[in-house]
Amino acid sequence: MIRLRMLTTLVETILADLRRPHPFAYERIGFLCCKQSSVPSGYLLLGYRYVPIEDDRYLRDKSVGARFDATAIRTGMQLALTEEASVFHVHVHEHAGVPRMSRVDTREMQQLMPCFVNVCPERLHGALVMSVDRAYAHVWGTALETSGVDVSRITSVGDHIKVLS
Amino acid sequence: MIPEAHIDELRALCPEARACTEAGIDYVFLPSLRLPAGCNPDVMDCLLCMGARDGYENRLFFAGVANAPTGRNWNTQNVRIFERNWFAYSWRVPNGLRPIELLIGHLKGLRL
Amino acid sequence: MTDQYTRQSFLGARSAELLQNATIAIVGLGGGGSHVAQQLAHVGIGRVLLFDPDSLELSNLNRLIGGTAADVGARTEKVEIARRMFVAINPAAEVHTYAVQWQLAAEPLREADVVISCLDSYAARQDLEVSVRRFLTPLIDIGMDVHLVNEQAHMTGQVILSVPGGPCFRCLGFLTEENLRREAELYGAAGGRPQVVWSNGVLASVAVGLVVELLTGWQRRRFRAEYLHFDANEHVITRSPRLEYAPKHCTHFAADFVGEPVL
Repeated sequence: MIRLRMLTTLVETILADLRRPHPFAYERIGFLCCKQSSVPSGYLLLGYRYVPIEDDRYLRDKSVGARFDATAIRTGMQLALTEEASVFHVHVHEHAGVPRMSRVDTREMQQLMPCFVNVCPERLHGALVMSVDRAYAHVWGTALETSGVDVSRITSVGDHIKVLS
Repeated sequence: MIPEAHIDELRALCPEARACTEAGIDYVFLPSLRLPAGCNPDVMDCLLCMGARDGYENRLFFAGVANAPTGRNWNTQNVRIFERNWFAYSWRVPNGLRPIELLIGHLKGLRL
Repeated sequence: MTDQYTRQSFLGARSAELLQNATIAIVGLGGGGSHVAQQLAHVGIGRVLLFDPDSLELSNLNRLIGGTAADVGARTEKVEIARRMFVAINPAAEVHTYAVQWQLAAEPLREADVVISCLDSYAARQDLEVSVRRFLTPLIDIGMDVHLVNEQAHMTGQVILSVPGGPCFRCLGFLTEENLRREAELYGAAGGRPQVVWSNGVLASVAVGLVVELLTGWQRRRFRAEYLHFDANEHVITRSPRLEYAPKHCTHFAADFVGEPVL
């Protein structure tokens, strides 16, 4: 079982950034850094920092909601390498309820995740899809089966404990 | 914040000594510190607490109980710092000393 | 929602599911923790982690919920008494017991959504708060004390909620070097501290109320901490003025105080 936990203030920061309109991309993307701990039932991932992708790192591509350049990918890889972080690709689906990864999301992640896993194989890395009130996450890593696994429980901790998944 | 020069002084006894902070309290981590003659084990990870903690002005924590010829009152067991369990005997060293002096003062408690 | 929880359906449409899927840890299964365990079972918490190294003694029977005279003779572990009580109320619950100091079973503790501290020393509370903050876990502390003033016993207690990001026990003035120093001076001389069942019950009930509020958000309150003071002689609970004067954000734990440290 994999749990993802972060402060509500961090969730608010993520949503505030990702819901801003971009000059031409349909959606925004950022990276969430997490510390990884072992627990008896599996792994606990603790979000501690959000790194937005700068406006000029987006590429014009109408086939996807957003695509970023190699520099942005290197930013994520650098976070994994130097901070030994679990790195999540984060974006928002603008609806209420638990989101799901689209087919395009899955295809994109299959290309991106090996970059993170290669530079920091001892950590899990993944995709976090937020909606306006819930979230879904899937992780990959050398310790898991190649198709990765869903994060079972995503919570935000603040004035109350919100179960996002 | 512990001055780097003070950490350098400790490195004469423990080459890997490094400063660290948890919950507003300054510590010096002393990996594989050599303990006074007669101690068993004779090498152990230690943690020098530079500030007031649990009623002591400063303290030396050990990764386990060190059997010493003097026989000490190990009144602190499994105290959790930096997500490790630490042990300490009841021993007071006055404040206002440099870390190297504090360390030597605490280790005196294990000497005959 | 099953019939078992219809009387608490006002907690929200998802409340039974939220409580069922939550993991709560109780550290210390004595007079306070045993009450907490019983109530968590009743409200429908689905998974609990119980930590206490001690077995039942005769002097515990005046207040330890679920303990029996037979348990004294058998020296039953306190975590086993709590487990037995929990599953008797809520047979579907997943109960994990650790008959050791929590420091010796620290990894399981990280799974908890909320930790309830029923410890009886300031030093122990300090260590627990530091550890659970690393794992972004809210901590609720309950405790009571009896003081003699002009030969009259005065019972007081507190329930404190420490939420990562918000003010901590030190910000709230509950943990100070002065009370830690006094406690260290009394080490080994304190003996058995006075405790009674009814005041423990009050404190435990308030703690369980906070757990339910944290998990369901049923009151829609936005609070970053709680500090309630209990005058057990007058049977009155008041909000501590220390809450008002505490900094909005913790000054002892940095924002990046997350996860296992690298020493």
